Amino acid sequence: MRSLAPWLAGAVALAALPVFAPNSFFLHVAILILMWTLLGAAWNVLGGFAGQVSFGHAALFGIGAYVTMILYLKAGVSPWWGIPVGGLVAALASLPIGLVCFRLRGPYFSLATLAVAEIVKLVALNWEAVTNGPVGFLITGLPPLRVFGLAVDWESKLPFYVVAALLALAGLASTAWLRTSRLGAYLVAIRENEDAAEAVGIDTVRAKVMTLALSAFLAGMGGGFYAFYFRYVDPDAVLNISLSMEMVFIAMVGGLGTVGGPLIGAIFLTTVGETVRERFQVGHLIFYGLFMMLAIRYMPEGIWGRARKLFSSLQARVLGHGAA
Amino acid sequence: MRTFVTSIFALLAVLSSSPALAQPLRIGAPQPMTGPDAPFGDKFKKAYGMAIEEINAAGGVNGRKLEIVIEDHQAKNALAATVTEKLITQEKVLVLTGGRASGQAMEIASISQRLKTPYLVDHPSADMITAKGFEWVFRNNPTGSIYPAAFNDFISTYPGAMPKSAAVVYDNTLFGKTIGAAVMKQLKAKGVAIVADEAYPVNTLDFKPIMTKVKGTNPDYLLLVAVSTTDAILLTRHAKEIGIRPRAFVGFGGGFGVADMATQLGPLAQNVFSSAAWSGNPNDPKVKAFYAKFHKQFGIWPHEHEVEGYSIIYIIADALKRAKLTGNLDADRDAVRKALLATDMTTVFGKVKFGNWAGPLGDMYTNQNIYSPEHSVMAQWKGGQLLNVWPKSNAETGLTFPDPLALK
Repeated sequence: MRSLAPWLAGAVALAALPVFAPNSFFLHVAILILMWTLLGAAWNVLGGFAGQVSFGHAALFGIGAYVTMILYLKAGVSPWWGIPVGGLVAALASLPIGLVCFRLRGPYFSLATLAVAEIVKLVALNWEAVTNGPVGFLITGLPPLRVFGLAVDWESKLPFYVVAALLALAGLASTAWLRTSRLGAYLVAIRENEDAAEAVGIDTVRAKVMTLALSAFLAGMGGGFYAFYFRYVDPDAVLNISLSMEMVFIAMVGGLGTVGGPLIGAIFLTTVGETVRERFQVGHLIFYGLFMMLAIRYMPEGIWGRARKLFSSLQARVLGHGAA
Repeated sequence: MRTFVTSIFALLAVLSSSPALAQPLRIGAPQPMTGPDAPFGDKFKKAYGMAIEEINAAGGVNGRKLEIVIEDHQAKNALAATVTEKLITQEKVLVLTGGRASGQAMEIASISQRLKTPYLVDHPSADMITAKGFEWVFRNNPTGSIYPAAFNDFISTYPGAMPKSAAVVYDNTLFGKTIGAAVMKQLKAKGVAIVADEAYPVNTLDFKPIMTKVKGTNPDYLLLVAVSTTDAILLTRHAKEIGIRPRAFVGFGGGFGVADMATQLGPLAQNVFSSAAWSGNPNDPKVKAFYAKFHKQFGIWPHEHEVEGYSIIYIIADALKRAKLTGNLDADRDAVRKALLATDMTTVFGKVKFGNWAGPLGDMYTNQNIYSPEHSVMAQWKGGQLLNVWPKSNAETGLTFPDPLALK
């Protein structure tokens, strides 16, 4: 019961937010935060729990975005079906990637993922029959939809906010599930000492491949949502290495291997990014970079991790006083 | 302290209660002010600023001052969407311009269309931007597929210039592929054999394998497309070193128009054609005066970006002058859109009138400048200088054709 309380509070807060949103730009930023929460959670599953640092998650994101776009524009499949299908295709695509890359460890694995992302980008640039090459795809209108008898207004932010909130919750819930599952325990064992994990009988490659598939499913849905919301997809936008990096940053700043970390990381990086960009027309990236450096230097456990530590030390002190 | 705060509030109250008509007319421009494309954002900022200063000094538009709000999109599509939303809903701009690269411009166009705010494209050249039926999007500059218009005119009208065969080498970017496709389509329509059709990734370090292949086809014309300067330089160098001797080397894209071509290639650049980006007719005295004034103010000679940015502000000011503004933002934006539909004027960029017509690749354009096919020029490197040679009305000097090397 106690573990459900924060989820309920979060769901209520998410539901209440649009009511109090002062304008559509505020909701736009909220949608971005939720999208990045999902992506941070996707990366965190693999990077935080299994300790496998991927620099290639943009590939999975891009696959999801392209699948959603192509299904809609060429087969007429509505994006809300395209998003989960995009996630599934990304998960399928991750299987061969995982089987190859997970033979490598540490930095070699990271470099291999970087290479995979570049290959996927080159394929998207040159396989014009399927991807439209560098021209990309543009959605000019979304299909009409009625929910509970009411027509959805695609020009408003609310429907996108609802989808983004559901996706972000799905991302965080899978992280919570993973933490208490047997697979999660395997992953932590792998992260702490892969040889020891193997010695006690864990099929490490299988565990990692399964985790990558989950991570890819979430990242692919994130890409699908991007296509649905931003309505324009080209290789530079959805297969860019900067996307991979942003996912790493969000998971790290928020707190590696924690459930709430990606949400906190997404809130901080999106709002800090927006605020400094507004304040300092020139040189705002320096402040952004400085913030990142300070966060990683002084809070290697992330904001969520640090807050939890502070909270438990406070708790211990209060309880200690009570006992004395 | 308290009195200070109160007086600030009083001041704000006075400012906000002053009649709406005295407030400046706001133009929004998402541009890359940081990141890899930052130098381009800076060019546009200078050009917009100069035009706005001139217009405001001359009394503004119907007595109201113009104001430009530039937002940095760092050359990222998602950020371009974010700042466009912000400009429209928070900054309450009347009209948008800018964008710089086509990916970001697609996002700006798509949002402008949805949020019913006119967007006047000043530089992004992807055909798709004005080929999706967006009635809120207008474009002054030519589309990518129109870039080779002067080249087409040259081969069709200059005596003996029609190629017998052509080899086409282009980069695999949106710009490279669009131009490659447009050039090949038009050559094929004229019955010219395309003997080589080669795409390469940007920043290739060695073109010798491609050029060896091309040499085997013995092309009459060698057509090279390069967005990147280093690609343009290496393409030319390797083609000449391998010993390809076409009657004409023709470069398309920004890479062939920069001074590095001459400084790094020296005599190898001699007589290479550059199907250059349009930056106004240099023979027009008004254009010359603008070049000189810009050079005096900023110490650099203006090129395509500065001419486009400067001109777009004049086109917007002209539309704002004719639009009946009421103070209701939605109605005013629609009034500006309607005024743009009736635009018919000349800027330093050239003539402008927006219309719906079919482009060279068969795309149906909406609100694309109908004079765009005239905004194409061919230049040639001569003694380290790039001079306009075709069409004759824009020529600064005579052209050298065929390449003397081909005759040896």
